[in-house]
Amino acid sequence: MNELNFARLLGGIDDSLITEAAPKKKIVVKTFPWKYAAIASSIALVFCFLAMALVFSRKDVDTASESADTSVTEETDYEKKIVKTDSSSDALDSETTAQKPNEFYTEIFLRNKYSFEQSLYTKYISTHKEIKKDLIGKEIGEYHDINELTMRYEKYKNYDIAKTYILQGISSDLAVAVGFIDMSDFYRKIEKNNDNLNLNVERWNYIQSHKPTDFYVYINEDYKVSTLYQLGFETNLKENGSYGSAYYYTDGGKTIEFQGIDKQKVWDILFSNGEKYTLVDDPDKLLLNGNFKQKLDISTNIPVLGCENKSISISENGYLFTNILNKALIFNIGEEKAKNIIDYVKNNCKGYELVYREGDNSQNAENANEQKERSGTDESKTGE
Amino acid sequence: MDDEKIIELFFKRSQEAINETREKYDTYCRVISTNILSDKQDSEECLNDAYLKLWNSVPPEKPKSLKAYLGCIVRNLSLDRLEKNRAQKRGGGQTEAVFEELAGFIGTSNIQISETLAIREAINSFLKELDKESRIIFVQRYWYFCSIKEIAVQMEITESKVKMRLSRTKEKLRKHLQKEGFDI
Repeated sequence: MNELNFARLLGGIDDSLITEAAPKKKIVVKTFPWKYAAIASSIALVFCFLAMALVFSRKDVDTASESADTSVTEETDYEKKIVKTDSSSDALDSETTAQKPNEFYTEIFLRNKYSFEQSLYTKYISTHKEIKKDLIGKEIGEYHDINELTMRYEKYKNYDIAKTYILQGISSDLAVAVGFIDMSDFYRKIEKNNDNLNLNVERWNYIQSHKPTDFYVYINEDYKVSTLYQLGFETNLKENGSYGSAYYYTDGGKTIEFQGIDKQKVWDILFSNGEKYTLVDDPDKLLLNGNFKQKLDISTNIPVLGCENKSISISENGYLFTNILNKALIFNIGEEKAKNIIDYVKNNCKGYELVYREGDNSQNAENANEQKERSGTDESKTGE
Repeated sequence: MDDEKIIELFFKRSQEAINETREKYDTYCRVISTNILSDKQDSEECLNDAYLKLWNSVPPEKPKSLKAYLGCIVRNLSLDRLEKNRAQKRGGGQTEAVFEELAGFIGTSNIQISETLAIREAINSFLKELDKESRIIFVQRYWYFCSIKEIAVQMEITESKVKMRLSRTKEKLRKHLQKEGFDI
């Protein structure tokens, strides 16, 4: 039988399968519109000139604003904000309070789609973050028998089927959502009926008809990114991400909290041209040698990745550190880019000098001043 | 106009039947034909032949799905034309790439034409058990002859994922057919 005949053979599949797979989008064969090319290119040129004019005029404005804002320096006097330093507030949840299966199944092995060898799997690590159903896309591939590869925990011994799902806007090579199916009812049923010869079919039907109710984010920690742009792109940071406060560390040991970080601005400054900012080979060495001195730390959230209050940190000597993929990544962004992002935050966001106090959670600057007066300490000094 | 009304027009032998069918399914048919043939003129001829064949076969045929029925006609006519073109050494659209993939799949199998009905049933049952995404990708590639890129766009996944899915599905199909007793 040749391939043409086999192709004809495939022509006999059920109508429902044919209509199900009918291409939905119109595929139009376009020939190049030479007729309009000249007009289009002229319009494009005009836009280019306008854009260049805009860029140059903005540069003038930026330069002007920078020179006008020379008052925003290390010595700037910021409003004070009292921060409670009670260590009990930093207590982590005990493992004994863990109630969900993902907190026990901290690792899950998914079959490596680039190999058909049964033994080759990619390890995904639980972020211990639950994710809402509306952030989850299609189910991926087949279900997974957890028993095969992951230690079973007594409490969840019957949660031995995992289903994996796409996370909206995120490659499944990077991260997936995992839901567990409680097979207890099925095992109870087959205990009563030992003679069931169609066990595999019944098990398959049970799995197909049951959906997980909770979903958890698992990340492939070995996923490779090589540039800052790739990191931003793969995590869909522009759409998915949000920023909390940014913390600026002065040379004099003060911490200034800045609020109101503009997501688009951070993307424009750091990520949009990030193809040229490459990953440092050995981030641990850089950290251990003290070559990364954190100057600015931006709190970053990517809910679809279970990423909450992670860091994008900048050093003045031109490095960007981040742990948004649950591991240390350091990119070489250069001193100029580092200065750009630091200046943006300092010049455009509202800053508060953090004053740490034991067991006092007041955030009112007036109260802080009262306390200073009572204690006789003058903390209104500016500068280093 | 819905399919039932169009089929009614065929049964009444009204010319409107063809006009309505064209209006509803012309683009769909063109996609199938150009994916197989790539030559516009060949595709146009196949489409015209397909509408004629449809007119001549309905009635007595009363297809449950007009779309699938017409799609099959177009596909078969396009494959016939392709066979003729190949004999004359004229190229096809996506077909050469698809045939290369299928050649690797069927190898030197000894399936006889008499077994085709049984194999079709086996393929149908296999496809119904597949997950929806894999099934759609498989049918789009080997029934509709869509390019890998088109499938990736349709399914909103990368081209490499499409290729991997196809490869896995073919392997599973091979095992399924072997289990059913066919020498693949």
